[in-house]
Amino acid sequence: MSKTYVTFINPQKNIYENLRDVKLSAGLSVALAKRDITIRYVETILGKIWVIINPLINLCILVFVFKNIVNAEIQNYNYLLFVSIGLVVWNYFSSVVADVSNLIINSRFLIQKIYFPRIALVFSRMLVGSFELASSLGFVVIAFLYAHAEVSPNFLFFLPALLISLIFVLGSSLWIASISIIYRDFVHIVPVLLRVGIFLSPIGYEINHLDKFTMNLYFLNPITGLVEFLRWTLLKGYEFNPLILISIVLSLLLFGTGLLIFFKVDNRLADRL
Amino acid sequence: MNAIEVDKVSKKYYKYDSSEKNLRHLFKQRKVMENFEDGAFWALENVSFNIEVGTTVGLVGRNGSGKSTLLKIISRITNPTKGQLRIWGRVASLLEVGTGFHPDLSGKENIFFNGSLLGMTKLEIQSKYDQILEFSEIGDFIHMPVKKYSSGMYTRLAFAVGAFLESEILIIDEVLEVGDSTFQQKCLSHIKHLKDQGRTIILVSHNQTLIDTVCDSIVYLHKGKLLYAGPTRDYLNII
Repeated sequence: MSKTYVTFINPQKNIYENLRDVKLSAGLSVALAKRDITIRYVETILGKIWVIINPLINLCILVFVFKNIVNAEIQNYNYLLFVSIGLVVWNYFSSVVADVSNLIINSRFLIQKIYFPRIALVFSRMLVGSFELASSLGFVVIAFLYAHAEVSPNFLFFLPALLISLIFVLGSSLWIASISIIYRDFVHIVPVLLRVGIFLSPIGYEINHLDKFTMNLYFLNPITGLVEFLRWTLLKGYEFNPLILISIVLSLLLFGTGLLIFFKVDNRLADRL
Repeated sequence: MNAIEVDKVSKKYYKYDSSEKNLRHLFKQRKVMENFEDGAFWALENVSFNIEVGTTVGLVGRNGSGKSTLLKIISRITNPTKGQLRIWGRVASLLEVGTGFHPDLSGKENIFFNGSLLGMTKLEIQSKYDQILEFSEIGDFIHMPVKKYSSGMYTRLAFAVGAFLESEILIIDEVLEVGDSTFQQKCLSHIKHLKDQGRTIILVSHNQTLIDTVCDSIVYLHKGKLLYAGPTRDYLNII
């Protein structure tokens, strides 16, 4: 019993206590993520192969629908390559966000019995998503080899672009997790949004030909900017659309406000479930 | 030196909680608000007491007296509506630890996961692992998923995890009503051992003799109000 530190328990946590929770949740987030990855594939016949199957199916469906049925043409680039990069962002976003509205509610027994920094639940889901992200990235590499395409010199910005996507996904997750606790309706709204979202984001098609107004509307959806950003860092000669900056700013805002709203909901969380 | 200071703590609960909010309620907002005040009740009212480091405190009171609410606030699961608590060190609840177990994980994996829940590092847990394994008497089953355990094994593991994972303050809530009598004896002697080590223990039990023999002091709640907080001897004179 060497290090005894005092904890003050007040009706409301202040912002410093909340931020300290974030700091303390690091180790637990990793433990939770490890546990979830283990549990996910336990007693499945295919085991961890499922990590590859889901993105593969997404890729096949998009290629089939847009290339073979709609006949969408991508100028200058191989279609498979173009779509696989878009799917990196989309798969990450959809796999995390689909779970996050139920995440807190499903952990209610834990939350009502043991204290731990609850924000770790959201962080851990994001880490699990990052594990799946690796397989999406694998498909990009395969697509590059298949298309014999050259990598853009903007490759240096690849990691920052991925990081912004991460922040965006985290921000949306915090928002959706928090709102779903107060309004359970979101448990039903999120799957609908995801079903529509994949077609309203330029994952399987180009948006270069759109008029200015529609283009601006498109970039209000941060996924548009993040996908375009990632393509610019990888595809040689891909045009940098300045509207990408709007998406970056929106992602950062979403993250900041997401943290704040989660802290607010966290205060009476155990009583709300 | 105090381990816990409870300072004018109150907790209000509502019959209507936010989860019951729906469109119908939105249109009947006014009516809901009226009911809302009616539906509120105080589970704890203006409770103040201190617990000294290294003492074993018996928390007593009938069902609905606010014991569980108080424990929830001390273990930080829920916040007080008014007042403040000051707590020195980590708080762990003995049997509740078992609720963090996942049925598909092995006993060993669950031990490590629960340590992380308590905020321990991997190294800290590793150093306790052998003791936990020995105390729980689970043996080779430790590598099997806990869903294959008998309820007795499950409880023993939960107790062992809670008892050995590092926390300065330990909450023991009706624990000794589980397990067979041999294991109960073992738990009891372990509680005494923890007491000797200088750990602060909060014991909840309806077993008066247990309270009398183990506890240094008593906190007595009735209908959310504090009726007595002080040495066990004086408490026994009062009732």
